Amino acid sequence: MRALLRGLGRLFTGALLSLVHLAALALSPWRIGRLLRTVSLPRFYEHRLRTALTVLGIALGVAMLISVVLVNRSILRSFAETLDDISGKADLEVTAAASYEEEKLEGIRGVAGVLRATPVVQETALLRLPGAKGERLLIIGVDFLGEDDEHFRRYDSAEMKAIKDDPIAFLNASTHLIIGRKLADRYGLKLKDAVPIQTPTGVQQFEIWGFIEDEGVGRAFGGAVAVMYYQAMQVAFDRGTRIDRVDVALAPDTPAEQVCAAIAAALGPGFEANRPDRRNAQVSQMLGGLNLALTMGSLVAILVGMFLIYNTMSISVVQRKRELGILRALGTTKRQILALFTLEGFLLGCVGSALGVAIGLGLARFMLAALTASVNEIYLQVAATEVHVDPLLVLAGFALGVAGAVASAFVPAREATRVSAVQTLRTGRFTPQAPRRGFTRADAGALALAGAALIARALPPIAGQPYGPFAATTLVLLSLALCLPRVLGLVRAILRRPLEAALGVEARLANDNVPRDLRRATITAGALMVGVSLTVAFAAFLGSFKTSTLKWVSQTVPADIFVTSGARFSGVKNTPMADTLREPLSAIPGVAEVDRIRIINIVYRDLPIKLLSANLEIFAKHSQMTFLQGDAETSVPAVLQGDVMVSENLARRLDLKVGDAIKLAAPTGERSYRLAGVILDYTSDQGTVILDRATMIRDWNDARVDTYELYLQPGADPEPVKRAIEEKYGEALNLFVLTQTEFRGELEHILDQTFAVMNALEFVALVIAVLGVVNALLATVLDRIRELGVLRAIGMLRRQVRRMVMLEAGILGISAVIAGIVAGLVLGFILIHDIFVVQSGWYIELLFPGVEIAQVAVLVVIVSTLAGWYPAREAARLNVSDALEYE
Amino acid sequence: MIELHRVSRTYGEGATRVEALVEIDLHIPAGQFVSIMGPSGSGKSTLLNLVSALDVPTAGTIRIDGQDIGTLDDDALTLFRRRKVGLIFQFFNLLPTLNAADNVLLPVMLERKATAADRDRALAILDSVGLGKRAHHHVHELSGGEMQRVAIARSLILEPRLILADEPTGNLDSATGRSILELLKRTARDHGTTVVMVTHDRAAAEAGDRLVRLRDGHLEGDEAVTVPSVGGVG
Ligand SMILES: Nc1ncnc2c1ncn2[C@@H]1O[C@H](COP(=O)(O)OP(=O)(O)OP(=O)(O)O)[C@@H](O)[C@H]1O
Ligand SMILES: [Mg+2]
Repeated sequence: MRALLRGLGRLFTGALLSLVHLAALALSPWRIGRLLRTVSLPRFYEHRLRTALTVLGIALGVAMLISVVLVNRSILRSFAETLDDISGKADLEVTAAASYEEEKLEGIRGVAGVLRATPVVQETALLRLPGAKGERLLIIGVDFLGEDDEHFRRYDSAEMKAIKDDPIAFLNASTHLIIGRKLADRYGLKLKDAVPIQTPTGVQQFEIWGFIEDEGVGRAFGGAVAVMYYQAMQVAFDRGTRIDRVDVALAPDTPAEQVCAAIAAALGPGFEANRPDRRNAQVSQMLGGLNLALTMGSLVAILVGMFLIYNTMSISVVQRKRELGILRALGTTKRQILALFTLEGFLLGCVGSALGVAIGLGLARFMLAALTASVNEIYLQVAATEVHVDPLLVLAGFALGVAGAVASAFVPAREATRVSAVQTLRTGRFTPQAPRRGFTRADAGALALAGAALIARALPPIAGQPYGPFAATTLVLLSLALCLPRVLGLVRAILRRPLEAALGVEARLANDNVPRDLRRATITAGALMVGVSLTVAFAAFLGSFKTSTLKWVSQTVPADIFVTSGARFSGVKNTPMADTLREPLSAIPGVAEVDRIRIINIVYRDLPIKLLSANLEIFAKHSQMTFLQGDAETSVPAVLQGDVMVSENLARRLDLKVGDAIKLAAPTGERSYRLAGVILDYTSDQGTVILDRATMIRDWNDARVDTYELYLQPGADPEPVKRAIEEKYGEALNLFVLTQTEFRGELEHILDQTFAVMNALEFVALVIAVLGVVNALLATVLDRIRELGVLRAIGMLRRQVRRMVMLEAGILGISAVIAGIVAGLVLGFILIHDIFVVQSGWYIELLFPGVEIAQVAVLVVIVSTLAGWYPAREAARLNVSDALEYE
Repeated sequence: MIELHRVSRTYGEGATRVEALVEIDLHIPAGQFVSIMGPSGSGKSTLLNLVSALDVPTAGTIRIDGQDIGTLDDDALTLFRRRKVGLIFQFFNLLPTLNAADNVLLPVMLERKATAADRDRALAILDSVGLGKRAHHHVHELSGGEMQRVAIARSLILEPRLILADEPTGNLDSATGRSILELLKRTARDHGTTVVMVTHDRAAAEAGDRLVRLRDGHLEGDEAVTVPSVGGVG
């Protein structure tokens, strides 16, 4: 096993080196290329492990960046493609805040310039086929018997043509459909087979009347698609006579803007005609927060990767002083040396970035599944199964990796050229640097950066994004990196005696060794610090957010049992149920009251928000709403009279005040609601409008129910009630019955899942940083071979040598952890107070993530100590007599 | 004290094979001060490394104090070096992060926690090599001769039975070298320590009781030193 691992390791480093070698050979026609081959390549081979680590560090940074952005793009892209397949040829789409009445179609057709108009109904429904584990089907209801529809969509279906000629039998039932060939093949479905699908009134058996080939509409939603006659679909899905939108084609040479305005005028306020791609922008906005956090995370990964590159490059300079002296003495110019080192960086950067692209593509595939799951849970239904590779993006990631490598090679390279020839030829004797006292340049830099961070933090958002605070996080990290020498000094001073007392002289030697190359120590600890700070900041954020959300649930949504269909939560995945269960649920022994919640997605002032209705009387009786404006005594009666309340985040985003008029485009026309209160609400990160169920039914024609919330009689046990519901209705309606505890657990799970990508990012940052520790300590060992020889000669045991090197790594780890915790708390503060509040409108309280801090501290100290293991083993295995000869 | 029986040491294979030592037989009784001389590359350092257990012979046996050191594992060899042998090299003997006194104490600290008595002894030894005033100086503040004295003091701290020195005066001017040799000789006499010293310098070699000559890995000569004292040379 070990031999196998070692073999694989060799193979890997060997392969990397061959790549570097090939890249170097490519440059051989030039003089600098020859220098590269004769001077640099042997070095790369000699320190093959370090070379491999550097390449790997760059690769991981690039891979992280590329994969994260690719995944985001792929999700957006898959959404856009489905949109394109379904209504690609529409010039305009007519939408309201949510669905609207079919009768509006005639109004649209009457507008001058409108050549064709056809209605669309759309649902994503749960397939209930055996073996279809939670798979969803996109069903579109269209008027494919009308003349207009085929202008917009391409159906490659023989059966459909036949139906068009003789539609009577097909229209005979509301459960006839045509499904995608891909899906049919996957489940072995044949003509006239029954397909069970979840609908608001329970599982219904739909009959297959035909297939659409994998083209046009048949390709949408990854092929998991079905087409119905739209009126049949309205019946099957309890949609009344409402449609989701109307696709419009314009007469030739008609200006779109003019028609848009005319349609809006004809239909009345609340209706909008837009180009279809407008919806892409909304989706981007919806995913914006997630997107930006991910991008920031990968930038941090690249930053840490650059730490590693810089680290290796500067180590390489230190170790090659003599060689450089010789080169200079032989007449190599400063500029050539500068070019040589920069070129080395370029070379490693190219190989690392190329590898990073490869890893990134693989990683993207892996992450896509995870991220799609959480996007489907909270944001919108997509069937993103394939990574869409954007060559430009891949190129940009590659270029960034190379640029980073070159930049971090350049600085130490310039330093190398400043070293005079004479100076480098003399074998330097070690002179311990006197500890810097007083105010140093690093201190000044740290203060300046901290000041800049304070200013950046306060900058207003640009285009709704908090770029200032994002910049502040980087400035904070840099500022603390400059403080690291002081932290190292402090930690060493504190640990010196206890460590020596506990672990012997090797602890003391390790402690003394740390500052011998202060810059290397600082950079190594700096990379670790960044990793730790990310972990702490994300933990602080996630912990605070979870706590706020869960507290909100237990105070504001204190129902004992939640009943939903199709998914555990009412979000985008559940199936709204017909309003049939209230009576039977109330009749179950132990149940005191049943509230009905309906949540629909609407667009308000360009924000994709939620409209939530509840029976406010029941709701207000049980819930302790937290009012930011208004109060329970006045707001609740007002809402019962037809007013609305909004969530804290919507009010903050749009600067809403009690008394304002909220104008929403209901299916029955525009409605203006008076704002009666602002409450704490975590239903949507975009914002929520809350109204009474009666108002929803009256104005929005929607009596369906997403969640039945059950309040039990005092002292009643929820378990038997839950079982009773499951037994009676569970199967048919595909019900999910959750107790309050389960509901909260589920919420926590979804939050964790959503932020899992953050965890992946901090993990990679830590891995990169630990690679840096290995790298730095290997260099340390190489620097001190002769000294190690002396120590071994006068009687230091192998295990003492090992312990000494590992302790040095441990001390770096401890210092990094301390600085990282401070940085992480500051970052967490900025994340919550300046970034999250802008992105979501939510203001949450920062909680001190004590447990996570303890965990990461222990983990990082242990892991960084263990990272010293390989260099320590190398040190312990040195041949003593050779080491003594070493100079 | 030291018995070498048909000891050989070869490096490399095939064309690059070097026979650094060939079937050396050598017996050094306890308390003797032996100088080893020979041209560069004759195998002096190799011999010293074998005796100090830094290296293992390719053939033959080495006994020290009756113990066949070929049978010991790395830990045992290390402890053997720490406790029984004092080592002095040509240069860069000391740890740059420690001051002179701590360098002297290092073998003790590797063994156990140093006590106040240990510290006093380290200072006393430093005093005896003429560095009483330099005890708390850092290595980089010492001259080459002073560093060698610290190395000698370190080699004495655990009172080893054997001191091995590879060109201890090689990097020093002749006056300083002479005083270092005098010091070695005196300590050997005072403590009854066996000393094996490699040198290039005929005058230095005469500090010992016996002179062993090496050439191309073979013993070329083994004679008692007739010059009565170092003081008489020069
Ligand atoms: N690690 C090694 N690998 C290969 N050959 C070696 C090694 N160490 C020594 N040799 C060879 O063994 C021979 C004896 O070397 P040694 O160092 O013992 O010589 P020396 O007498 O100490 O020389 P000097 O006076 O120059 O120090 C030399 O030819 C040398 O090249
Ligand atoms: Mg030698």
